[in-house]
Amino acid sequence: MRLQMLSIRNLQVNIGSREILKGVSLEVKAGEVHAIMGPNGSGKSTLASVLAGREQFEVRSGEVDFLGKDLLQMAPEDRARDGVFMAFQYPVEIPGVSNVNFLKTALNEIRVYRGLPPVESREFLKLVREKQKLVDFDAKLANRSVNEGFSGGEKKRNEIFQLAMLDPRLAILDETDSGLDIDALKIVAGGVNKLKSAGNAFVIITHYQRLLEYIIPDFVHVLYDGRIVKSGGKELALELEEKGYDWLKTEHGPVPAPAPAA
Amino acid sequence: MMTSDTGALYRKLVEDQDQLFHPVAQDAQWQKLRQSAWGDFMRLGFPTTRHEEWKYTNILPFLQPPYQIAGKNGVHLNATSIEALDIPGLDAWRIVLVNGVLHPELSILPEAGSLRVLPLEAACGLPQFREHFGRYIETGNNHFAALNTAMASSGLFLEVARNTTPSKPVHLLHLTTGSSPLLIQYRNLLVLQPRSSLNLVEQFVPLYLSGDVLVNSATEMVLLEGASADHFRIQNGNQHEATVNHTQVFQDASTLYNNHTYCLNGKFIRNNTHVAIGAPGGESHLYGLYLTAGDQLVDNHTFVDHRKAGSRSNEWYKGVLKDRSSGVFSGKIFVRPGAQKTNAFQQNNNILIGENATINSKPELEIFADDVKCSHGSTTGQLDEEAAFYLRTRGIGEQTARSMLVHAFAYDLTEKIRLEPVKRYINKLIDEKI
Repeated sequence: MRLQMLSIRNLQVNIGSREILKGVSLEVKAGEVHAIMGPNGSGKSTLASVLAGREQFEVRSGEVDFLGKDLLQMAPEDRARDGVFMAFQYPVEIPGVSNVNFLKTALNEIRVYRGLPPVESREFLKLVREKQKLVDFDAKLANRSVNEGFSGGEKKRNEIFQLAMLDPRLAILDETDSGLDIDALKIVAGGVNKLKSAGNAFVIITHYQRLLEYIIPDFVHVLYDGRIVKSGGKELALELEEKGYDWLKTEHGPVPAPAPAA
Repeated sequence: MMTSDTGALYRKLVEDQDQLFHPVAQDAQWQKLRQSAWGDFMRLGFPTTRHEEWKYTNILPFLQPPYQIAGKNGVHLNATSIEALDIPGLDAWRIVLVNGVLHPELSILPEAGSLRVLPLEAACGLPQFREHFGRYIETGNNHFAALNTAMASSGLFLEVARNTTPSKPVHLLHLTTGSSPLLIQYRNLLVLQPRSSLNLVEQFVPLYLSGDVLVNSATEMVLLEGASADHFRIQNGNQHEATVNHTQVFQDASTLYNNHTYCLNGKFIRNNTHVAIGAPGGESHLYGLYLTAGDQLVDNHTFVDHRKAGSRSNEWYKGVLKDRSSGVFSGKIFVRPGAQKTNAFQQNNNILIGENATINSKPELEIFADDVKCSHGSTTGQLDEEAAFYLRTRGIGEQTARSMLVHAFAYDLTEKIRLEPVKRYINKLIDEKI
């Protein structure tokens, strides 16, 4: 039996007075790849952000259980230390912080949290080389400031490199495919395919089916107007690709316009 | 006579002037300078916030303690407590001044050669003292520099011989110590002879300091033709220490002066850092970082005076201010008539943490030549919360994340430090401060 990893029950989330998620439920087990698809504005990135611990959202109700812990009560860093990783849609540039120092600090804080000794420098560098190779990440980029001056594709590859270094239990990829050309997309997907295992799980948030040609999901969910309106196997992604998202409007009604600011 | 009475200290100084004037050195030229500076101070008094240069800095609270004038004796420190202040990994000549008085027994001084180190008063017979002392600091409009010029009789004379570089950097330790309120004034003269160079790490540290002190120090530093200096100032006082520091640099032709100022601790720091590029081909770089917390007030006034054609200056001050602390940055670039082809750049960036910290930033350009390239800019903002969140989502704790971001903010400045042990040391001090 597969380990229950993430369990989201009836999650309702606001930004200010606006309801973004209106009751999302999702079960993810170890070894699974879930894809969450949907049109713009359906709440996909909000879901990823709430799981990662972004603070400007108000969780109105619902629960998120991650390996037996109440995820919503945890600080973002503790979520990461327990094995949650979010690849950002828009990775942040941090001039003056070198990628390698950043990763070493992160890795060591995670290790200390888990009661492990800090990683030795040599061991760390070996790990860096190994993971760079695994996800085809340019060694020159690893030594630069975090994402500073990186192209869109390089930033996304850096997210996958970090994913490889930190080896999380649950990885959430928030529109990692957006802005990638086909070669970069293949590299990113290739990285994910090498990293997935029976012990971890992936939640892949995407607007397009394109990425799912390279990362084959076990489950596909359609998020629309703050709810998961349809779930299925990998064939659902193809169906969406064919039909687009317009049919959702006829079946579920149009997404209401944002409430005017108070 | 316009006398602004700013409290008991002024009255005390006026009452005691005869005693204070008791000449340490029987030197007519010096005495004349002191008399003239005293006249300036009598006229100027202590500054108030009505003075433009002191608009954002109210010094009244720092004039209140019943200060005694620091004497030349009665201070005994052991060598072990001094060794603890050495910068790890920095093999340097160590010059120790305690309350402004040179202590050779605590210092590690070089043999005669490239460096000459003397107590100020012992240098006053030298021709280079007579040529340079008091020549660069203007006392007519600098309240504290006038007072310093009138009264300071101790301090350091340092000279680097022509065409030489000392075999090691100079670590100049300014220690303040005492258990009752003290006014400490000292004066330094540093002369870099033609084509000499110097690495100078000045550090301001309290040692067994438990009484309030007001330090009023002034330094003249002269770079003669072709000389170069890397000048670090690490100001790391404590809650008893209020400091006014006036540094006047004069650069002759084809000189290079790099100043790195780090303001860390101390309840009040005011730096007047004036650089005059008095001949063609002079180049100055002024880098400053102030990290303030609690009730600290740190005020950096810089004045870069381009006097002749073809000189360059580059200035970059950055500040991180938190709690109820406040900072002032006032930077003036002055390009005199005829100083064509001047290239001057100035930047001030600030980060405020929390809602009660303040910064007053005042960049100024005054240009009286028409073929120059000058620019300045100032920004003030918050710590990048999105970046902090990004770091935290990778498992880095909130405090560490903030510390990393402050380091990253300061990185532009610390990366300019070429002395590796000094860089490591300053990074460690920044860490401790955050």
